[in-house]
Amino acid sequence: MSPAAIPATVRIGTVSDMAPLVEKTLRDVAALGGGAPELTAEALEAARARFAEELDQTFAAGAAEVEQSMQRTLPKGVKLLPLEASREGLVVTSVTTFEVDDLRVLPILQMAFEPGQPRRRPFEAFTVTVEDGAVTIEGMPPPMALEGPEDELRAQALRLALEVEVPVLESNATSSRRAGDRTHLEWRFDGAQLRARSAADRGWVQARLQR
Amino acid sequence: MPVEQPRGRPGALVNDPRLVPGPDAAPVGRVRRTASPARVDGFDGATAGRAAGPKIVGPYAKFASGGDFSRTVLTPSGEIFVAVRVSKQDPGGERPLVFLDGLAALRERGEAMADKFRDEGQRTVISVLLKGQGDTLLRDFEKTGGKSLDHDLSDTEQAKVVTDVLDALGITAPVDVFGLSYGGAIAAAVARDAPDRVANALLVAPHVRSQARAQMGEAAWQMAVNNPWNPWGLSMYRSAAKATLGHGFGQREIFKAHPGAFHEALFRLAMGVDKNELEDTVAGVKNVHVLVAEDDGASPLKYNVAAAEGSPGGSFTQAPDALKGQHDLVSADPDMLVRWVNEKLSPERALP
Repeated sequence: MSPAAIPATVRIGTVSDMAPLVEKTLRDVAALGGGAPELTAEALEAARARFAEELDQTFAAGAAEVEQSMQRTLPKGVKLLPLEASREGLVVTSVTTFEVDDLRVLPILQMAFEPGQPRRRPFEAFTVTVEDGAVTIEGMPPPMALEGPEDELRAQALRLALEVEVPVLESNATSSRRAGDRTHLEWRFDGAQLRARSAADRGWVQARLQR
Repeated sequence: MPVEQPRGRPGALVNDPRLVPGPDAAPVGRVRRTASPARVDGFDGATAGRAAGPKIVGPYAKFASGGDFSRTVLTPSGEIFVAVRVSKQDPGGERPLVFLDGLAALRERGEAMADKFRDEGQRTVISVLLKGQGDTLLRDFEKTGGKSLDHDLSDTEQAKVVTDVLDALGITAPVDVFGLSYGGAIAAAVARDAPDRVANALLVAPHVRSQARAQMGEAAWQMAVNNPWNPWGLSMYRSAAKATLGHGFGQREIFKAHPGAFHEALFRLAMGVDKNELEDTVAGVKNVHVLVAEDDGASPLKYNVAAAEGSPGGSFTQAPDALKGQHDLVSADPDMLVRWVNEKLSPERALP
C-alpha cells in the first residue's frame, strides 16, 4: 500500500419494494395463460408468499456464487465482505461492503454480479482528486433513467457509507459520527430525491479528507 | 403504416375443444395420447403412410410425400415433437406453415390448429413443440432427466430447433412461420437467424419486451433490478418471475410424473426471451406480419406497430374489436386467424 493511500470501508445499499413487480407480473401471467384474468386476494397472497420463499432461498443459496463472481472481477486492493440481504414483507434491503486499500480505486472499481453478466461500475460517477494536502471525493449514485410517475419510487432508496481513519475536513453527508478511531459518513437518498436530481446536479456526495 | 383489420366475420365461435385453454383438458376426439411418443426417427418419406396416388411434385414434394404424422423427430437439437398436416390441394408446391404456440404449448392444440389450417386454409402445417414444451419436454425428461431446463432457453436456441426440424424433414425451400405470444418471439427469431428459410413471419400477440419492466415502471425497474449498487437485482427479478409464472397456467397432466417440471419450463422459456425486444429482433427482417388485439396487456399495440414498421414488406393488423383485451387469439378466434393468414399469404383464398 502506498504511504499516500487512504484506506476506507465503503458500503452501498439499496432498499427495493418488489410488491408492484409481483402483483403486476401476476396479472400479466394470468393473461398469458389465457385464463384466470381476475386475481383473487388469495392468489395474490400466495404469490407474495412464493416470492418471499424464493427470495429467501436465493439469498441463502446464491450468496456464495454472487460473492465469488464479484471477487473474481474486482481490481487489486479491494476486498469484498460478505453480502447482506434482508427482507421485510416484499421490501428488500441489500448491503454490499468493500474494504479498499486506497479510496482512489473507487472510480475504476468494477465487478460482475454473476458469471457471464456484464461488469458493473458502481462508482463510475465518482471522482477522487488529491491536492493541497486533501483528498476530495465527489460523486453521485449510478446514472439511471428515473423518469416516470413519482409513486413508482416511493419505497425505493439508496445508501452510501464511508468509514475512514483520516480526519474529515468537510462533507455533505446526511449523517456523520465517530466509530472508534474512524469517522463514519452516511448519505441517504430516497426515491423522490433521486428522481428530483438530475445527472447535471453537483454535490450529491461530497467529502474532503485530510491526507 | 395503416392499421388493417382482417376481413370476414369476427368473433367466430370456437368449435374445437382442443383449442380451449385451461388445466390439461382430457384428450379430445381422435387425438391419441400416449405416455411416450410412439416413434422417434429422422424423416424418411419411404416409411411414411401416404397412400399411393398422383405423383407429388414441387419444391416440397419429398417432405409432402410423407403425409400426415405426429411424432418425435430426431434433430441435432434433440428429440422434438412435430405434427405435420399436408395440404390436399398442392402438397408438393404448397409452402408449409410452421406453427409455434405460446409458452404452455401442448400437442393437442398444435394438432388442432394444424388440422384447421389444413382443412380450412388449405395449408400444409408443421406444428413444432419447442424445447421446454409439451411432449418435447416430456421426451427430454424420459431421456435425460430434463437437461434442456438446466439453462434459460434463448430465442436463438429455439430458432435453431425450428431449422433443425426443417432439416430433419428434408425441407430446404422457404417456409412461413406462425407464432403466438412466446411462439411469436421465436418465429421472429427464426426469420432473423435464417432469413433464407423464411418467406413470411406471422406473429400473433407476440412477446414484445419484458413486461415486468413496463409494469413495474422504468424508474423502479432501474432502481431495483438494474442497479449497480444491488448485486441481487437480477436474482430478485428472477425470483419474482418464478413465483408468479405458475399462476394462470395451472398444472399439466402430462407432467404428473415430473413434479415441478412444467413450471420450471415456463420459467426457463420466459427468462430466455426476457431481454428481447421485438422491434430489435425484426428490424430489417422482411415480411413480418403482426396481429394483435387492442388492450392486450401482454403484447401492447405500440410495440407491435413499431416492430412491423421496421420490417420491409411487413404489416400490422389490429384484431376485431370483439377481441379487445384478448391475448390468446388461438383460443379466442381461430377462424379469424385462418382468415388472416390466408389474407397475408394467399389473398386469393381469403373469404369475403
